[in-house]
Amino acid sequence: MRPSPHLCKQHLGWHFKKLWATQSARKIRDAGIEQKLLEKGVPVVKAEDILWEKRPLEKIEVVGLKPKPVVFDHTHPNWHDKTILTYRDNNVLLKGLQQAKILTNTVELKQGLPDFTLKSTKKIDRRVKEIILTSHVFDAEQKILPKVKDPERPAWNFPRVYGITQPRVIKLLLNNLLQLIENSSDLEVVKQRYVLDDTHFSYNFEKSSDLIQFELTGDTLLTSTKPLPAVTEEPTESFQLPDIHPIKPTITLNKENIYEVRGIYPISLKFAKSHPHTIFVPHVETEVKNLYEEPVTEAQIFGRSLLKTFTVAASYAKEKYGNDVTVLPKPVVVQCVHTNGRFFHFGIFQLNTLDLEGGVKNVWFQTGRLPLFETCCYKVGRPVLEGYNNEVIQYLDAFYNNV
Amino acid sequence: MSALRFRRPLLNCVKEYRYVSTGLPQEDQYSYTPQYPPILDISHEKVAAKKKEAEYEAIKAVKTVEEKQIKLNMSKYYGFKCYMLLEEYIPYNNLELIQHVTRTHLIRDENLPNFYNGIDVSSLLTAVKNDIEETILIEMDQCRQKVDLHKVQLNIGERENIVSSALSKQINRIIINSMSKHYSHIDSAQVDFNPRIESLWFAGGMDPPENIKRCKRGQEWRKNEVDAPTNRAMNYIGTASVALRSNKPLRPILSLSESENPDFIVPRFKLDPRTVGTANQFRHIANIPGFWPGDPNQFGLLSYHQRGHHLTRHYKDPEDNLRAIDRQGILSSFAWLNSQANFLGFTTFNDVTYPLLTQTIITNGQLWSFFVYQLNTVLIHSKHIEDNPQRNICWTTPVLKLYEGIVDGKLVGFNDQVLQNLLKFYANVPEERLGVEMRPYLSKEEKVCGDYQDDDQRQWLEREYKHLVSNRPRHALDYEIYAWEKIYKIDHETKFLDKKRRPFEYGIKPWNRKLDERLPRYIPRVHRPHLPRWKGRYAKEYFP
Repeated sequence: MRPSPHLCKQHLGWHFKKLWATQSARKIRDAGIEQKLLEKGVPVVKAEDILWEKRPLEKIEVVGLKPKPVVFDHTHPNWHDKTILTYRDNNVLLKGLQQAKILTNTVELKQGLPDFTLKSTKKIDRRVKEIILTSHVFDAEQKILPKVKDPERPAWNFPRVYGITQPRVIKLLLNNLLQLIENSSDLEVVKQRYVLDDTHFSYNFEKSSDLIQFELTGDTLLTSTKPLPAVTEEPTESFQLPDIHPIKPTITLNKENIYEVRGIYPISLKFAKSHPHTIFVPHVETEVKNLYEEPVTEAQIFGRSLLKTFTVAASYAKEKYGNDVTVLPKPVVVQCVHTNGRFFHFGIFQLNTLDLEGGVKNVWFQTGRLPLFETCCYKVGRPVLEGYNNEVIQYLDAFYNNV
Repeated sequence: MSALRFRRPLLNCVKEYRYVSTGLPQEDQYSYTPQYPPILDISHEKVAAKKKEAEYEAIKAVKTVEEKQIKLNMSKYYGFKCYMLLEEYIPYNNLELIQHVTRTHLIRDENLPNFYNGIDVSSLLTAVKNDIEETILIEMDQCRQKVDLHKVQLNIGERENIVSSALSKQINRIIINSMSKHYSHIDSAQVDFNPRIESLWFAGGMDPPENIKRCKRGQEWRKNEVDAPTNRAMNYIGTASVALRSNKPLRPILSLSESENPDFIVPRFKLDPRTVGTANQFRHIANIPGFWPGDPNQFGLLSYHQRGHHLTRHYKDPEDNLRAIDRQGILSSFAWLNSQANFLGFTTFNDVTYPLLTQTIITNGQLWSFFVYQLNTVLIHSKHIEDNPQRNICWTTPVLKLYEGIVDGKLVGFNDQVLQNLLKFYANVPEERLGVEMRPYLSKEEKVCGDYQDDDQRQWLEREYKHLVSNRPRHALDYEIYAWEKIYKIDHETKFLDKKRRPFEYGIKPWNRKLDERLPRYIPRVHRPHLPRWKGRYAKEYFP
């Protein structure tokens, strides 16, 4: 016979808890002692006042202790009551390119890039294919990749895949393609270029009483000894900015109170090779996200390119021409290559003015998204590269050799 | 039979000759002088050694690179007990151990070996010097870096590594740009950034650990070999900030016969590696030189390594700091070459048939150490630690300063000698080895698993190989004997009335599981409609 059913009939724990509940609500009865003592002139003091020592606690600095983590609230040294609107690496704008144009006072004069002469790259095509395979397939990195999800059955857990992470694919691909183009270009041109990694740009401005700051990293920045010449001298006053009414142009920018207002151009202008030439922007799909989980659209990717390029050009112009300049004495031109490892998007930005509400406007040219290849992966145990498109490398070559 | 029960070796021999022909003797089988079969030594050591040799021959006979790596792993389902040698963690007094386990003779000299005297780089030097000076100034000046702006907490070593990896990348770019027009090997070289480099090999000659001794003491027939040295799996994990590789190997400095010279002394390290701060981990054998089999550029030219981790060593012994640099140079060179050798079809049990060379640079931008490493042998286990006449050779320079400092935005005391050394590394032209079979232990038709015609086999091998070498964490905890079981059930039989439930109570050793002792992938019923219900349930497997 098991004794436990009988023993458990009286639930001791329950009784115990009940007892505590009733006893804890007991009130101390006032026996009127305090009153009587006061009548007799005996001073009455609270027991706590005598028993508890009144000594101010000294703060002792203990060497080697980990400092307390900084609290991100109004006690933070960089707290400001005025809210700033920021745009960072992983943000996209709701209306994409249209909204970016309004923010940066930019117009597109025509579809596509200005006239470019694309050279044949037959000589290096074989090597380009090798580079694509090396960065997409043959690199031996095995890190845990983002979770695989099937929208049809969202609760299904797939085994985690190990492989090359997207930032690494982009880094290897861009570095090796750049190196290849440098090897095949004229040494005189190559000597004028410099490749900067992991730089930081920051540019701030006020627009209709909003304080806005773009804080972006330039993962790879190509600089040159002399700035790029102006692409167009066409007057821009007559062009209209896009209209996204009733949406406010500053929508989906982050609202922050902890910030530093700062303008940063990462390389000192005392160096000869300090003029921005081309910015290479990686698009890591798991990091660049909408606020409300919708997939990132093509227009939003274009908008990201424009804002990144604008930040580079504007921070450079501010460093070069000072804080007060509005219409630039000489336009600043920066090229942009935006890629997720497979699709490439090329743009050219001409900064005419830093006055973002004036009549003179900045100019933006861009291509669509061009695929470098159709597929590049292991297919039935064999590394396969299909549908290679040499237009991309031609554009890259033309961008690099643009003087 | 009763006699056989006590003579296990004899039993093994009988097993080998189980099938005996009983046909009638023929006339031509007779000879005037009797021809006896060879007399085999049936002592335990000899039989075990013979068995091992047969295993090594079986590995040698495997056709492709991936299959060879799987074959090496076949004996251990849960992986091998590895002694971890990490590039970025150098305990005190580690050089001797590393020289022993890599069988390396170290030659310290002010200059690079005489081999490099024939390479003229004076014209190159003038071409790149100004650019390199400018680069150093820009990178050192670039204090407005991402880490500072994002206020990332970094220690002193990590901070130095950021500058040094940026500088190595820039210097590499400048040199390649100015050399690619004249040197075809530089033009076609593949540049890797932070490649994953892993290597595993077996090293012998060190005293056995206490648990092995205890085990042998308990076996009557192994009592005489209690103190015999045992093999250990040495596992290196590291990376290079920049690495160059090519489709042709570098020329060796010494021939194989020259490197048999007994004057090339390799120190013996007899203690357990754990005595000098090496930790254990269970891992599968993975040899990865930064790329997968099938990449055409298989031979390393040179690699840049960081030295930020030397700043966080706290032993306060300047001499040991210098030894630590040598340790890093030797180990990273050997491990990279060993993993390349594995991709050429050699393994830790099947020695290389020709020497391989690599050039290693350890730098933080200002301090530079140069290493030239020639791999002559990877056979370092068991008796080979005594018998193998080959030694690996490493030439190294002292730590050199490229410049003294930066004063008023200009470099002071630029040392051309350092830059010359660096350029000589780049100008060392790799060559095809004429008359040498580069992959003698790989099949003629199939060198990597992608060469197989069978789709299913190709796919299986590719998947299993990558799964194995990823060394991903297990989904369930490994089997273990808990401490209380060891005390109350094994050492002292105090719970004899308890039901026996655990494997050790039945003499089963779960860790002796082989790699293929598992269920193959299940094929759902819908995918085999043309077969009866009980057939074709499990997918075919292709273990070598």
